[in-house]
Amino acid sequence: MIRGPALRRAAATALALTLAPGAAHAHLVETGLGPLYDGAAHLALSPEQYVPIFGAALYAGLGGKASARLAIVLLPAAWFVGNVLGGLLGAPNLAAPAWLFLLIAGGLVAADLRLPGRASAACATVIGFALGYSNGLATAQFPQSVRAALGATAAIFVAASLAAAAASAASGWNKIAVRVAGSWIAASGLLALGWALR
Amino acid sequence: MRPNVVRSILIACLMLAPTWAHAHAQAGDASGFLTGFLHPLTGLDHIIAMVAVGLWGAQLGAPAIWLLPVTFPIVMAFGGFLGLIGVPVPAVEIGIALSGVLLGAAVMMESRPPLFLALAGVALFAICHGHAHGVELPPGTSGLTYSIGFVIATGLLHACGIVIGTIHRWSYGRFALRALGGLISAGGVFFLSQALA
Repeated sequence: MIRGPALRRAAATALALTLAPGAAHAHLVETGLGPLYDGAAHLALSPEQYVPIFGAALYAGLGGKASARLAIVLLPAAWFVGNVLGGLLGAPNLAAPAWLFLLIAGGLVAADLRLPGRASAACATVIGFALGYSNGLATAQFPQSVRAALGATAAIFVAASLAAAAASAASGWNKIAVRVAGSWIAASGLLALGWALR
Repeated sequence: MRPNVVRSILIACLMLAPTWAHAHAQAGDASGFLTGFLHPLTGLDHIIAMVAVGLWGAQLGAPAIWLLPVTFPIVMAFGGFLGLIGVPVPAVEIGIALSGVLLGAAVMMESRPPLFLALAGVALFAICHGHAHGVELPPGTSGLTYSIGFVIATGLLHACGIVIGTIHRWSYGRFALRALGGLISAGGVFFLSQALA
């Protein structure tokens, strides 16, 4: 039989072990291939991130080849800078909601709104920065968040390049398909606003 | 303390200890997308109306053929938005059934109203369809991915209608298209009788 101090020690050990919290792996998907790929996988599983990025790149592409070329560099770069700032500042009040980016990016593509010069690339850059900021806030607690952000930035570069190139070369029915895609993105944004207000 | 008692306590502790918690990032995303995507595809009343929009657009030609698929999703989303924020749309089910009846009839009769009238009619039906989709999110699913799923499914149904509608260029195709419009309209009458019952 256990008695006296021995019983108390055993009970304390049992309590401590039972209540000890385990390690919490929040937010980032673990691919097993390192933080670079984890960041890319996280982006691929975050529609609130990649759908507006896709829309912004399409819009930059609709603005012409010069605008598309500018956007494929500025959009990922702005996303990365926004991501790092979001992680450093940690001010959730400055983050805009996902539906706003969906509505803006999708609406611009669906309307095929022509802006002067390379303003469409500038729009894509602003959207990229704001999205990066939101992502930086969400993944700041991940130990290797900067390396993960680099992986996500590389994925954004590839996706934005493909989307902007396709949109800049589109004409006739292909251009209508691009505008329909914008309409779908804007529609999703409008519904996301509904969910937010529900 | 006897060693076997200590061992027993340690084993019990290890069994009760909490395991590593892997947080569920984007929980419900996959099920949300699939649920949303399948929602318009599992209701025949939605399917016939969406395909009819595409068929009619193909019959009407430019600019309706591209204006309808660009504007319909946004107007439909507006209907869903109204449903989500609790604004009631009266007789939604009747509106959905009527969309089948009237759009099918428009295809059957190769009706060519002024563009604004065609767009206004389709927009009215889009609000009914969107409202029905918007209020039926099952618990535990992601609202955003559900929305993306059902917008894409609806758009693909339009595309199916437009692709089928390309047979309009041949004389037998024109006849087949009108017959298909009649079938859609008959289906709409069936759903209307159910809605009114």
